[in-house]
Amino acid sequence: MYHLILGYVGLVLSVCICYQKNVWRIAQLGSLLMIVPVLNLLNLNMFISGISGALTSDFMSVALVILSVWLLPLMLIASQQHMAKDTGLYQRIFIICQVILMSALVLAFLASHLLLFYIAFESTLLPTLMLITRWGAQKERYQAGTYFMFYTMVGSLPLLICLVGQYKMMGSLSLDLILGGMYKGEYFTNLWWLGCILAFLVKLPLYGGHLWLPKAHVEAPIAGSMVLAGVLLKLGGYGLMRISYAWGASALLSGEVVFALALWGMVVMGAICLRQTDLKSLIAYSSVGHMALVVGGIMTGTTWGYNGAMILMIAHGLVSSCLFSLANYWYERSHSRNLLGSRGMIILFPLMGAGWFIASLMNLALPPTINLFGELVAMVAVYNWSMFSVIFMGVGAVLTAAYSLYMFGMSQWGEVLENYKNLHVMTSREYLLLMMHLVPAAYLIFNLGLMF
Amino acid sequence: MVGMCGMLGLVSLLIMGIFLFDKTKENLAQAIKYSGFMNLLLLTLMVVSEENEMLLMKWEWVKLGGYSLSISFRYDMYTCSFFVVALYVTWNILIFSFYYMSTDPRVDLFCKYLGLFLIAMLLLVSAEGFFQLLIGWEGVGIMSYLLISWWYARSDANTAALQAIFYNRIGDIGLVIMLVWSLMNTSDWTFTSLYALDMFNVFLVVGVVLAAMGKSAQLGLHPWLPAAMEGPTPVSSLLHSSTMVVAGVFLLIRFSPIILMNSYAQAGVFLLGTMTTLFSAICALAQNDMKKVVAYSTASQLGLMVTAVGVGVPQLAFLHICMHAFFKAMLFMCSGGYIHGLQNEQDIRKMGGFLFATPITSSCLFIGSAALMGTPFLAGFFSKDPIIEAINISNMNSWAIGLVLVATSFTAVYSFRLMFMGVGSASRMFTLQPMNEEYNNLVGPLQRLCYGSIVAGVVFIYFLIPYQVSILSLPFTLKLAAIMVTAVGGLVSWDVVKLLHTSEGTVNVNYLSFEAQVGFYSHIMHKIMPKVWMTLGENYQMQMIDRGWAELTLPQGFGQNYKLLADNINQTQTALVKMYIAIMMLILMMMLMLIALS
Amino acid sequence: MSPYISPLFGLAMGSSVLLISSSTHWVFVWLGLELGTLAFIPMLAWWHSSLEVEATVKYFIIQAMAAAVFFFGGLVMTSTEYISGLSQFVGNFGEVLIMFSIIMKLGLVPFHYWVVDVVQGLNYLPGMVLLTWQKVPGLMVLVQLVSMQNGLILLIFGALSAFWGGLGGLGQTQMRKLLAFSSIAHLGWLVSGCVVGTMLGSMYFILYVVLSIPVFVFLYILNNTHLNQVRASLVSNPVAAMVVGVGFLSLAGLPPFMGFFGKWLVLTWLLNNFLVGGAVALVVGALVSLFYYLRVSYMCMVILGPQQIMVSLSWRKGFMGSLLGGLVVLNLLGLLLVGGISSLSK
Repeated sequence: MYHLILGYVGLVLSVCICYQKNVWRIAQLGSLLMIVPVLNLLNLNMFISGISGALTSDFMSVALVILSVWLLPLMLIASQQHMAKDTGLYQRIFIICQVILMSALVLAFLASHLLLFYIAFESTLLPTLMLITRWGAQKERYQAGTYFMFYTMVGSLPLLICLVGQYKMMGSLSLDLILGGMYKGEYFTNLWWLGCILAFLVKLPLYGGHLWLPKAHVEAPIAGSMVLAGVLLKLGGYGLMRISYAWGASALLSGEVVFALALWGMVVMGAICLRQTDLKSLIAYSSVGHMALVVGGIMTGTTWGYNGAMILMIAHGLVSSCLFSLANYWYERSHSRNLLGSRGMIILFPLMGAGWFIASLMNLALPPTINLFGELVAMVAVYNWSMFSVIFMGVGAVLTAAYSLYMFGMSQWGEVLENYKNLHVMTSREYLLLMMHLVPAAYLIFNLGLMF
Repeated sequence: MVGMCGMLGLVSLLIMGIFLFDKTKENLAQAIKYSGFMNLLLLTLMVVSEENEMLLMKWEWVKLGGYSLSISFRYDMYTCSFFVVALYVTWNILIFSFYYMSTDPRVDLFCKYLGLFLIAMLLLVSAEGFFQLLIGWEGVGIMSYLLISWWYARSDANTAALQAIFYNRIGDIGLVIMLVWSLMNTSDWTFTSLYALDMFNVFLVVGVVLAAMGKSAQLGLHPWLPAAMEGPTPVSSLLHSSTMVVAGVFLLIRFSPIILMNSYAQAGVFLLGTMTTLFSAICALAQNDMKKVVAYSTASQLGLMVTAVGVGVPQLAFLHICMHAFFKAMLFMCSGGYIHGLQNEQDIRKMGGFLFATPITSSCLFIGSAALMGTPFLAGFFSKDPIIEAINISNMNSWAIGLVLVATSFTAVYSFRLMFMGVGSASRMFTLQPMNEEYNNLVGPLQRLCYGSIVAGVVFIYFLIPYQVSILSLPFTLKLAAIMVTAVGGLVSWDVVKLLHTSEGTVNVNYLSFEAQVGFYSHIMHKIMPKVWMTLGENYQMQMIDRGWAELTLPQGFGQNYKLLADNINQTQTALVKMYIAIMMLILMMMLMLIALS
Repeated sequence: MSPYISPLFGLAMGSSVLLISSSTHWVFVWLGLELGTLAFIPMLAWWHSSLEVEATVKYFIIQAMAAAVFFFGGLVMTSTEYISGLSQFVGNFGEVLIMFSIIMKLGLVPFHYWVVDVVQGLNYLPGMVLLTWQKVPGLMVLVQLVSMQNGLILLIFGALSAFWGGLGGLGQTQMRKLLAFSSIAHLGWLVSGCVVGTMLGSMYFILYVVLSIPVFVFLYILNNTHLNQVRASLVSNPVAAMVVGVGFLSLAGLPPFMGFFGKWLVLTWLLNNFLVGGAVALVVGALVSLFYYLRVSYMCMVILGPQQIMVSLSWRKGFMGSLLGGLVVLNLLGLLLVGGISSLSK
């Protein structure tokens, strides 16, 4: 599996030395080729299989690795347009930033040692920070980057302490050796557990610590938004799954608080999204709502919960990234993210309207998409934990449908404003990007067994 | 035999799906026609072979832990007959929409949407498991969203579509409850395993009833149905009268064995149905838009179907679904013909005297209304009358029974009013209207559905016999209750309407009354509910918490506190060496004393 | 200064360290400390400006005071047998005095006041030597003196330093003051490491030195003393600005840079010895200082000032290209260390 990392190193080198006119082509093609070695990781026999050195893969990590490797060419395709006016060197630095981010992500997902996972987890922060604050468009990106860094660091430094403490307690942090055996000492077990999961709860994000997410998603350029919504949130989910696996039964220690926050978060994020006027902010808040169900699923500790969370993560990654890129098409032409002023898009861009429609339908978890499947499975797990949670989840689902279709209706239908009537048509690059998002999502409907 | 029928039925579904991709809409209509007739053949075969039901076709979809989830189809008498009815009606509506939407540039897409809707509906009906039901359920909901907002530049249509989705989704909470419960308790989500469980559970039944309320516009979740009249008339006639709104009733019929196990549940469903039917009938009396009258009439009939389930005769409810499809679709088509003829005028106060302008359409209106009222030996009679008989001889709440009878009479009232205002009275429309019915695409479907309205009752009653044995000796008055009530209502209404609308001088029409404003329900609910959620979203969550307390406590709070500390620290850096030395010596002395004296 | 005199001072500073490391009697240690200080003073006043002279004098006064305390402590250590009640925590009285004097010399809280003013007054290169080389004598004494038994006070001071250094730098816009506070914070981590083990302390110190040198050198090359000047440097000398930015992030302790490795080591050893409170306090301090490190690297790498246009970077700027290569690679060495984790016992 080291060949993955070496592949990305090679990609960096080739982007450095190629001619300027080829740089985007080489980057996109190279990153697309990285899918090939990743796909042969699809050995999902048992937990922690395929160990080679410090890297391992099992059903939790493979799907997420494939998602992240798949997202890199998508990010590059999406940013080609708005980076076209930058100088050649800055274009290369931008691409290299994304490639470094992706290789850190792959390392994080494939790590077999929790400290390696931690280092890779932290390493993803810097390239993302660069993407947000260096290539964002408004001056609010500065505060967005600071919030992003600090929220994550406040969570992850206690994680470091707890991991190092666990290493002392158990002598090893390798994932295959610590199953269910985390420190169950006499003192402050709750605090140890909280320290372990706080980083991931903030990253996911759980409802209480979600402030960084709308800021970061909105201010980031399209590549940053796509990777944030698509994979970085899932990093939190993945870490939560691993740590919960390692803690075993004592993972349910104080789970009630987390559950309460997650369920309430589902409902209230739906309500917030109904009032958003910023298109990207709407999609960002919807991510918080979806991830709340992921948290719920993982905290139950059941197989169904984990599976549901897993499917939901993959589905949400693809759909959210698709929605961001759709919003970006409009933003590149009109330079506005305002939802109220962007009406009647389907008149201007009919085929992309179909894309908006399918993405909105997947966002609201329409059967038979995988979003619905993940939601159902996670809902069953949470229902098993408490009967009354179904009220919150039901109301959350209603509000999700309401704002998804509100977003679709507001942006696509209605009358087009005069000043938008001369926007240039959709390019095939944009259609390609749309298809590359939706085709895997559609394929997974039929072949869901790919992830189990 | 049944297996073969089922297979062929599903094959016809598949073929229609393939024809969705055809370029011309006529081919799609042809495909649906031939499927309809093939399914009729299958129905005949099913009837002849006299078998009951068959479970078909199970594909394993995914393995999940110890469970394996699959797609499975159920093909029984309900499915088979509904296939025939739905296909026949859809074929006719497609032909009608060739006429109605002929000037629309996107008419091909429209027909494709209708075809897609049909496939979703048939999936729903032939579903054996919850997941497939959910696929069909949400599918019809989304197609309804697209079709209501067909003229999407119109903001009324946009809001109506969103309203429909909203109410449907609230019903979907019930569906989610059902799914989740069945998965936990039967580790499978097929109906067979639920029936085999043979136990009553409140949670499950609440879910079923909620889902039915949402989809079939029962009282409480009903405002979307009249609002859905924003869509073009073919949409109203297909979705919101014949097929989609009956999905909720269909669900109730599927789950009737479980509901009828518990008398409280049964009573609840019964009361829900009766309240809906009366309320809608009252509101239909005061509507001035032709399509709204028919919409409320639909809601009233849906309430009657739910009442039938509650009383214990779900087969009659299904029979009424099939009958109702015929004449209600025809009624909508008639109104579509009038609306086009009057250059998109829908107000019945500006109609009149159509009998001579459009004889065929008016005759169909008359026959359809007659069938709706339950005129003996037309289609509606064979389902409505037994339902009311069953209600009369049941041991349900007699007040509710009275409500049903009153609602039945109101059916006659608004039907007569509609016919008087449209057909019977003097003409109030502008002169020089291009009132023309010489279109094959208009008249053909009307005629076919007319034949259906007349004959279908006799045909269907042959094989859709209720399981319960009906009492053969009934008092004279109870037996004739429905007809008498209808006749009374019709006569009174004819008189009153004539009096009201042909007298000299102006008539004070009270448009702020309870019935004209639909019970003020939407006024209250559509102010309160959005306000609640939007206030929660913006005022509480966004302004108070997200931009308020959450920011103040965590990031800004820490920032302010640390800034305070940092200011203090920087003030200690006075740059005076004497101060430094003094402080250092002081601290040194203190620490030394501390250490020395301990 | 004449090129004939400076080697003398350099020689004196080197021999002071040798003296400290090789002597057995505390008088010679004191001698070495004084020698080092005295030899360093002229180098501080290289540029003869009044600000530099003031900083030099401050430095001298404080160091002299510290040396006096050291001498007193040595006397107390040899001549009295005074045992205090806290001796199991802090050792005997003389050792305590010596320790305090070393704390004064190093610049640890609560005796850190001079560091800020001195570093602000000096130019970058002497400041760099002050913050890196001049710690060596002090650390040599400290590691011999301190052990787990009597390290409690040092741990407290260390944690307080990390926090204080973080807080102090929050309001700074002068780069040298910022670096001074950052060095106070790092010193806190350093002495916590010394408490736990000699090897750890040395390793952290070496890491800190290696990290600081590129930052100071490139700031000197850029000649930036204020944060606003740093912001303007991205366009004028992008390479140097990048190095400064990366260097600051490394100082902040962010993975995958090398600075993280030092912090990780210290935390590991602290937790191995069950000093959870100290670990938590250090971490809080690191979090606070992260803010200004992040702000500086924003200025260097991310933000353009007004009226600045992005021009294309040129890769070669003379010798700086090679210096860049060496120093940045050194900073990113942390990535290679990642592979070394696999050798951690499973």
